Amino acid sequence: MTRIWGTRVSLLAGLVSVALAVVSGSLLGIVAGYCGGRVDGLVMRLMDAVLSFPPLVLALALGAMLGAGLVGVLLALGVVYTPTFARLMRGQVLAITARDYVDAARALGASGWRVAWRHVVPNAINPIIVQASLSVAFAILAEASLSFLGLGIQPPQASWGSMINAGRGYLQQAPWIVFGPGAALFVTVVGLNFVGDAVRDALDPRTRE
Amino acid sequence: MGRLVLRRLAATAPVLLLVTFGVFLLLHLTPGDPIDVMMAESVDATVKENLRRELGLDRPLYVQYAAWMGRLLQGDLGRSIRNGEPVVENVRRRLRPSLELAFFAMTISVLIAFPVGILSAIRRNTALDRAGATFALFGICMPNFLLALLLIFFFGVTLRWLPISGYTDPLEEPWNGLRSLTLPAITLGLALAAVVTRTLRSSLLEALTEDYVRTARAKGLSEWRVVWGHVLRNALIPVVTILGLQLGTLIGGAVITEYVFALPGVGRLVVDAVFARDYPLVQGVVLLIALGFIASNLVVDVLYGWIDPRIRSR
Repeated sequence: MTRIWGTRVSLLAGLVSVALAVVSGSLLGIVAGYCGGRVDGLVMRLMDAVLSFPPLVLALALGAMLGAGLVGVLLALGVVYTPTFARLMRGQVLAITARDYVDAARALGASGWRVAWRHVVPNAINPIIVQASLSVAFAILAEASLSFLGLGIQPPQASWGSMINAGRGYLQQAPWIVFGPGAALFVTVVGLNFVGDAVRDALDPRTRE
Repeated sequence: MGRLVLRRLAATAPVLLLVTFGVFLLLHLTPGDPIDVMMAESVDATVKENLRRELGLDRPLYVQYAAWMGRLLQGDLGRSIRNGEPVVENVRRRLRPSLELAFFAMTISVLIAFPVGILSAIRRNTALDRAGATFALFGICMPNFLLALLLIFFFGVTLRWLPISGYTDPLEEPWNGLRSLTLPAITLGLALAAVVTRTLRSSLLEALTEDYVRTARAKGLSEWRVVWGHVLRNALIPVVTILGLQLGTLIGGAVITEYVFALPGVGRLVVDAVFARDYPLVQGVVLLIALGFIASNLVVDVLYGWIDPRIRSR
């Protein structure tokens, strides 16, 4: 029974933290790419600063300070994955605003935000979706790692990581306590990797052959 | 070359400033009073008050940051509130096992990745290639704590070949030291090996289509000489890039590996400090790790320019 609960928490953590990162990263990327100049410099240096930490170490430190538990983990992982999406979105915005149809929309008198929302975002979204689907697998791994260290999900809640950690002491007598959730975690990550690859093949014209 | 280094350094300066500010703010992210979080309620109020004053928490935020930065520039990263020793001293003591672990893990990953990657590229679309691809997928998707427990289960608990935890310094007792680092190094090295194998295979395949390969073959060189003498050197650049990109993952993996195998390294120090709620120590170690990470990324960047002269001029 706890195993099923563990599945729920692990999947939730992976999906929600990536969703957080997609939203915050995309917004930052749009603002940076759209405003340019000082705003761009500041936002991107901020993203560089986040990237200056090894991801797990940053998540550990943030999680520790925010307090262990689901919310702390979600926020910590959300912050860790934000720069990836911010960089991607900024690059997309810069490429798209240089296109003719954006000029055309401006010439028709569309406001800045209307151009961003109606023309830039829909055209920039594909690589974001691809990256997001690939990131979920890694976010699930990261959540499992934090919970395994005992710094993520706390009892009475359970996730695969915390279950594996709990079973560590019984490796000799009852290895299935570790390898049950372990197999679930491994199979999920492999599966999500295939999903990510498939999404990339479907949406990214460059990999189509 | 010198200009490349200078340019990279200049680009790093503002990031460094933001990193220090971020690490400084860490302590203030705690919900509630950090002193209450760090110390049990039973601790005397005057002790708490003293710690508060020592950490400067009773002063305004910008004064605290200025004072903290001032000490930082003099090489003072603060003290652990548990053992009272300076952060730098705590880290220095833990550095050796971590560096040894990293070195062995790198060695293992290179020993696996190069033969597998080269063979997969030469024997493309054979059973061998597919076996290599399966290995790479396995290595990338396998959480390293799970791999660690599998290794412990088979080689430590069932076969009893290798010690499952603890650390012996290989520089003092070479045999026992190597034995104590074998399972951790495999744990850490395998994921890296998987990534390097994938990258090496695809960059070899790309290099194999170049004109100079046809020329080399036309000269009558054996396939092995073509790969070893001509293709491999040109295929190495993406491998260096991927090694640089994997550095952060490697450090994170080291944290977990050291935790599972009870190695007294820097990664273990972070986890211990977090558990002990020794926040000044967490701050100091995280800052040092970030600085080390930034420095190694700089080295990778420069190395990149050294391998590929085209990048220098950019």
